[in-house]
Parts: sequence; structure tokens; C-alpha cells
Amino acid sequence: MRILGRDVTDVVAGVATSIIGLLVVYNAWEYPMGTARDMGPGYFPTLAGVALALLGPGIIFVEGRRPVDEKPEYVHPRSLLLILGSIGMFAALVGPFGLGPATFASVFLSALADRTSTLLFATVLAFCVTGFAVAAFVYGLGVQIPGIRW
Amino acid sequence: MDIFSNMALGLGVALSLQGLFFCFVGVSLGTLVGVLPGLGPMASIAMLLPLTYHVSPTFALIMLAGIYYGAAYGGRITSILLNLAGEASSAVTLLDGYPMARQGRAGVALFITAIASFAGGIVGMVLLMLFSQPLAHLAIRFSAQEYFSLMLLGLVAAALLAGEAPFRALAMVVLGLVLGLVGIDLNSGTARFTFGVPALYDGLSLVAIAVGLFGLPEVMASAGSKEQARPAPGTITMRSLMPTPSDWKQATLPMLRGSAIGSFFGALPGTGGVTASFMSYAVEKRIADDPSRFGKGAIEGVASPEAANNAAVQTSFIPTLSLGIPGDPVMALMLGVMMVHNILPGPNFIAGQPELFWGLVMSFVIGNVMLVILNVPMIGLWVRLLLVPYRVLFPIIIALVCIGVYSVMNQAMDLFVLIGFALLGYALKLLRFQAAPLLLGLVLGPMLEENFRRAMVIAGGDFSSFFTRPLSAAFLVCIALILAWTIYSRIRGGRALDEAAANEAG
Repeated sequence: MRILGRDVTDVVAGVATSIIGLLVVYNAWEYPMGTARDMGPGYFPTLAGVALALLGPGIIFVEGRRPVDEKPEYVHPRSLLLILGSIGMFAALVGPFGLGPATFASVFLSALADRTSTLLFATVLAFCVTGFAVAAFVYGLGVQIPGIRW
Repeated sequence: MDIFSNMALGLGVALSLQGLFFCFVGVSLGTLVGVLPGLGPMASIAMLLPLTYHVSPTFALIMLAGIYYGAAYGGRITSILLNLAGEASSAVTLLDGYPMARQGRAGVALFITAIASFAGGIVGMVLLMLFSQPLAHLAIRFSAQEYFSLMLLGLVAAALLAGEAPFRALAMVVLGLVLGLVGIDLNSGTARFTFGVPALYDGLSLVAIAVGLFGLPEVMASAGSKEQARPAPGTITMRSLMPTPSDWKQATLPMLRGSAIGSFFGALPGTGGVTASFMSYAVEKRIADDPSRFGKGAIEGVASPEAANNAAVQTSFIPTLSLGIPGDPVMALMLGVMMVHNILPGPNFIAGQPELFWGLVMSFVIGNVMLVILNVPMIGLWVRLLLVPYRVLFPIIIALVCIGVYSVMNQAMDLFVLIGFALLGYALKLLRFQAAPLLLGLVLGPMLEENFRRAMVIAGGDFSSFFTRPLSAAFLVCIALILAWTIYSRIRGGRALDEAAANEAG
């Protein structure tokens, strides 16, 4: 797809770069600028933000000239959701319940990201990995996370 | 101290029971993850980083380096057998490696590349021994101006020399600089870009960012795909590994040339194994008697780039360890981890912690020997690994990533940072950004700001001091040259593209 005679990914990439740059500048205004001789915490971020904002148009108007024929590689929404969700689940469970339950949940959920995996397969795999992980990390490496917490 | 007593000191560390053990663990894990399709050295290191946090600094460094060059060895197996490039530098190897595999010479290709990798690694390591100390001596006289200019040179070179899209690459570097600022500013105590989240006061987790940007997008993409590429069974036997005498004759000189080219580009700031392997392939093709053999299974085409890649891996430690300035994104990652271990590479590093430096250097020899053993007699093991269904592997990878990232600080926040950066990594891929320069910016960001501020204090707010100090000025001239070259080649390249488009239309 093309916008203004340019590839749409170039336009999106450029606009996003500039917007992020402006947001950085906006945020850096909260911090004192100081002077060139005695810089405050806002000086460097402001410079970086301005640089970022200025690079955006370059992405659109200079790089945007190149013809592009490769198609982007989309990740299937199912694997995106399940894999990122399994990490979120690990984060939610590891504090209150310990390493074992968190590992089990993350392996179970992420295994389902593959459409050919069955519930039984996911359960068996989760049991095996959990057993191995608790043995290796809690007892083997002595990581400071309890294997299971009630 | 002369070099031999230093080597003896290093061997003492590297040959200790612990040294051997962690070196072995590092190179085997590196090979293991490097073999997995789609995971290049960057993703491999990122995912295995957390393991090193539970080991003492010297051995953590030995293990980490082992993971790095181990992953380079492992990646070539996948590219030769499956025609899959885990990362850009093995993209060169498969140009001739895969045709060799289809001619039934996969074993020879694997054997020769293992030897080439070894040769390159050893050449690079010798240069590392010879040049690190003199460079560190030179750098002791650096003040903040020189450091700032040199870092800027490294960042600009990494952005402009490696990729094809200069604006995108520069944007990645600057975004990395900004992300590196997250946390408490050490000069003023101000919390910057933390949005009131106390878990961010120490900055964003480097491991979470690296795994999120480089590991997870690859895993997600492979997990969703229907088909899994597999090597044809029974192709690798001990007999098929042995190159013929004419193979040896054809491959020996390219290995040496590759080592030389790789050593040069590895030590140069901003360029690394990828540039080195492309250059060495181009050189071999140019000087060959019959260039048409390339792309159809020419043994020089696999020997030279692999030697170059591994030599570059070794020499990229030179600027990292002696100046504290990483030459490429993978080294930025290594530097970040060293800092977590309270190891501060720089001019005083080699003199101050000789057992660490020389132990690491000597472990390279041992690691490379281990890798040849792992990759020649035991090649079948890794080939069999490619037969394990990916649906079994990737949930294990996810669990290890979660445990690894969490166990660094025992902070659930780091896992949400991981999710955020996985999404960012995916978005960047769709928008055709290369995430690697971001990492360089991220690690150098705080140092760049620190030296910028200090330089300006020393110079009393006068920007011209960056130009009046000769060394600093020399670095800035290099930046100007790189910029000029980029613009020049773009104008020329752009014209060629326009002509091509016009020809097609006409």
C-alpha cells in the first residue's frame, strides 16, 4: 500500500519516530535543563528527543524512495497472545505461589500457541519442564525463588 | 610482566576445574541454542544471559564469551543443513553451504567450517593478546572529550556502516540512548522517564530488553508457522565428514584470508562479524580463478566467511575490554552484563584485573578446542536436535526466559518490560527497523551522557573543546567521513535504483 507515493511502512515508521521524539522532549521538560556548563537532567534527553524527531522525516522522504517488494512476516495472533500471555501469567504467579506453579502455567499456555498441540500434550510437557526447572534452578543453582509457596 | 607469564596466569584460571566447567557449559549451551532455527547469536546470548548471574564474575565472563562463540559455531550447522539463516552472518555461509549439502557434501562443509572457525578464532585471539594492552595504555590519557567523541564514532559507525537504511538505524541508536536514560540520574538524583514506577529507578532490565527485542519475536514467528524444516536423515556420517586433499588445498588460503579480514573488521568500532563475513566472501569471489563456482558449492565460499566471522568475534573484544567501548551490538550486550557483575572494562581493566583478562583470553583457546570436538566427532548430536519438534522446544524456551529474566532481580516488573519489548521488537520488524543498533545506544547512553556532561564542565561550557583536542577531533573527522561516504553512496545507489526502475518501466 502507498500513501503520498511512499510505502505505507515508511510513513508509519517515520511518523512514529517523530512522535516518540516529541514525547521525549515533552517529558524532558519536567526536568531542569541547566546550562551547557552545568547540565541539568533535562539537557541530554532534550537533545536526544529533538534528534529523534528530526530523523522521522528522513525515514519517510529519503528512505521512502526505495521500492519495496518484501511482505512483512505477520505472527499469528494466537501465538502472539498465548506466548505473551504465558509470560504475564508467570509474572502474576511467581511472587505469590513460587517457581513451580508459575513455570507450569507458562509452559502449559505457551505450548497451546502451536495449533497442533493438544491439552494432554501441553499438560505432560508442563509437568516435565516444571520438574526439571525446580530441580535445576531451586536445588541446583540455588536461585532465591521458592519452588512452591502456599 | 611479559606475555608468557601473563599467559601462564591466564591458563591457571582457564584450566582450573571451575574454568573448564563453565567454559564447557558456555560453549555447549551456545552451540545448542545456536543450532535452533531462527535464533542467532544475539537471541542466544540474550536468552542464556540470566544463567551467568549466579556465577562469580570471572567464570561468568568465560561462560558468556563461550556462549557467544559457541552460538556462532552452532548457527552454521543450521544454515548448512536447512538453508536457514539464523542471523545475517550465517546468511553468507549458506550461499555455498547449502548447495554443498545438496550435493551430498554437507559433512565436508560442516568439517571445513568447524576448522575455519577454529583458525579464525585463534588468529583473532592472538591479536587480542597483542593489541589490547597497548591500546589500553593509549586510552589512559583519554579525557571526557575523547571518550565522548569515540563513543559517538562507535554509534554512528554501527548505524551507518552495517545497515542499508541509515535514518532508521540512527533512529534506533537514539531510541536506545533515550531508553538508557530511564531511571535515577546519578548527577542530580532526579528520576527520569520512570512514570512513578519504583521498579524502574534502577533503569530498564537489559536482559528483558535484549530477550524481548531479539529472542521472543523469533520464537513467536516460528511457533505459529505450520511447517518445520528438517535435515534429511542419515546424511552425516563420520566418513562423509572427511574433506579430500584437494578440499584442504582449496580451503587453507581462504581460511587465512578470512581470518585477516575478520580480525580487521572485528576490531573496528561499529562493524563486526556480519560485515566481515560479507567482505571475505566478496574477496574470495573476486580473486577466484572461476567466480561462477560461487553459489554452487564452492568450498572457499564457506571456509573464508566462517573464519572471518569467528576472527571478528575474538577481535571485537579488543575495543570492548581495553577502551570499555563495545564495537558491535553483541559486545554492547556483553559489556552490559559485565557491568552487572561489577566488572568495568576500560584502560585500567587489564592492568587492574589481569587474572580476569588473561583467564578470559586463555579460555578462548580451550573453548575453541572444545567446540571443534563438539562439532566434529559429535556433530550427529546437534543434527538430531534439529529433529526435535519445535512445539516441544519453544514452551521450554519461554519458561527458561521467564525464570531467567525474573531471577536477576526477583522483580515481576522485569517480565512486563519483557512483554513490552517483545511487542516493540515485533513492531520494529514489521516497520523494517533493525533492532541491533538500539542495544548499542542503550548500553552506551548513560556513559555518553556522563562524558558529555563532564567534558562540558571541564571546558567551561565551550563546545569547541571537542574539536580542539587532537584525538577527539580525529574521531569527529572519522564521523564526518562516514557521514560523507554514506551520503555519497546513497546518491550513487539511488541513481542506480532510479535507472533500474526506468528500465523496467521502459
